[in-house]
Amino acid sequence: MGDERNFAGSSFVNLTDFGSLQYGSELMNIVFDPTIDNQLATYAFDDAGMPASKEHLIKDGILVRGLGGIESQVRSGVNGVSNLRASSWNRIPIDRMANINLSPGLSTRDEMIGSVKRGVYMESNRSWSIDDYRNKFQFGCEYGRMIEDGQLTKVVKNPNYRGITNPFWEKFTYGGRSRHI
Amino acid sequence: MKKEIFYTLCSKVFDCLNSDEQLTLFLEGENSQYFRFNDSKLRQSGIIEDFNLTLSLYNKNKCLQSMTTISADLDSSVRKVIKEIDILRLSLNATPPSDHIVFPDKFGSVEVNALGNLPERDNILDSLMGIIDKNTLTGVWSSGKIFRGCCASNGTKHWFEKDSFLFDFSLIDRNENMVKILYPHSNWNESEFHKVFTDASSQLSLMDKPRIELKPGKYRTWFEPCAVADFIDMFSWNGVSESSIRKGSSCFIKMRNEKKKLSPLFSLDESFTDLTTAPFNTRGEVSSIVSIIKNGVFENALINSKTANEYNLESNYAEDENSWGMGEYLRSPSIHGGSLHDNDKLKALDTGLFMSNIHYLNWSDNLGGRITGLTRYVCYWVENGEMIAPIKTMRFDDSFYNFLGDNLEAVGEKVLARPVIDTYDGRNPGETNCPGILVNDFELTL
Repeated sequence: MGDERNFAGSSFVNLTDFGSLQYGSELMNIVFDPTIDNQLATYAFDDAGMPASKEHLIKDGILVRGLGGIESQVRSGVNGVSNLRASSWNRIPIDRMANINLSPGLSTRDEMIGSVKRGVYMESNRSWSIDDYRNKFQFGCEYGRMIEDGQLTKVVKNPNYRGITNPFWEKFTYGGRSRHI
Repeated sequence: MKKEIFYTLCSKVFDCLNSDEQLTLFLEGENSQYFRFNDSKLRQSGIIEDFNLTLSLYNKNKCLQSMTTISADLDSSVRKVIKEIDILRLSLNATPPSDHIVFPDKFGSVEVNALGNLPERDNILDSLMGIIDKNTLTGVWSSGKIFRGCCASNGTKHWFEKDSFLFDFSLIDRNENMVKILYPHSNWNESEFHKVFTDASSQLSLMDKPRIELKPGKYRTWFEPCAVADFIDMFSWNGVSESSIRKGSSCFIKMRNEKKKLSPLFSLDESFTDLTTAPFNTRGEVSSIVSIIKNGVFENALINSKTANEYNLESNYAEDENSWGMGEYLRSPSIHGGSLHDNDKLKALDTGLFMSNIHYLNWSDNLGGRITGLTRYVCYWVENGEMIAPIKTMRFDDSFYNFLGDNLEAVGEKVLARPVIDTYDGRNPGETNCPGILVNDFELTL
């Protein structure tokens, strides 16, 4: 809707893209789920009083729904979710992300690492930077190791990765299995 | 909120302390009008009167804090604060002592009344809407008073009150070219704002050209003061803090331990001399000027009293850790101006990049001083001192040890006061004083 263009920015996604944009590979399923237990943004109703429900934002790689509460849905005519939320009692509610999860795949960690001839394994993001249209991103991680001939080898210092959203997610080839920590 | 009400509240609360207790009360408040615009239409408006009081209750070398809201209703506010103290007392009994905690020394009284001439609330919208006539503006107007106060039970008594407004907006054309304007002031002048808006509109029309795509590589670059201020903001995050240096997480460790230097053209102070923000911290301690980097040499970190106790140093009364876990951050940074006249900056750049603003900075290598981020707003390619065309968004990743070090060629003469735009916990009165800089071999990566 452009309300945030002066601050956080905008999006490369247009309103007409919902329902048709190939956001990433078919393995990509992104779910908005404020009903899931024990995550940071779990709630039954948003601050507009709309009941919270689990919804796919991206299903099988296709963008199907946006992050937009009831106000944004009325203004845009696009399906949204219950995410009109205030950060505090003295702040007006705006569209905010809740629990957004990438659905697990079928591969084991060993299978995924074993498939890589030469690459980098990275853990735990500690640095984030995205452009004002959510295209070019760069993330830094706390810990990384080289993958050589399918094996984890030496530790690398200051691992960072950068890319462009669509091409990055188009290359999504293995999804890790669900794990309980 | 009137100063007298705050002082009376503090006095009444101090009367209720036990003999072995000491207390500081820190007030952050605002009385603000907000308007939020999109496509030059009003989207939201609101009035906020908000007064947050942080209580720090000490008993010898134990301390606990809590926060509550107060109002101009003195009796109910006093009752509320005393109730908070009762709750703190219960927990303080069970709290272990710490050698690093000491009650602040007495700092007398500092009072700042920075009064201005703000537009009448009923007239603001009419004044603005009469000028922002094209459907190009998205942003937020905020105006009104900002308050800070601090009293301690040993007699310290400070007050800071400032009239200000900030119109933070972007003008956006049909091709989504954008111009960013921060228009802060304490005195409203409609014809002056009309000129600011007209100049911004002219700047936007200059951007109406096909954008060119640069390849990753190293570029000669002019950064406007707002862009430089964003780089300086990074120094508050694992940078100027003595605690972060001691804990091994500061970008200035190489300057402290290896005596690495930046360019002699670069000097950074923490300075409250112009009193644009409160010169006292949440403990009521009053700061003087601190030279952090002088002619490229690291001189002083910011040291709060807790760090001073922990490492046996002298405090320069930097800020305590806040609710976000940040302490010893820059509250009033000032970069020294140089010799490059504003009219000569494009000529001096000759061929390269002009950057008005940068976006979403983060450390890509904190200890190495590497910062990544993106171009945004008025960023264009220049040849022979003439604008050629705006550029498509590019990511950069470079170390300030390069662009404020050997690659820093010139510093602008004109110093801009860039206001603090954060409103997470309320409006903030601070600003960063910054010139533009001319840099060689600035690294674009994607």
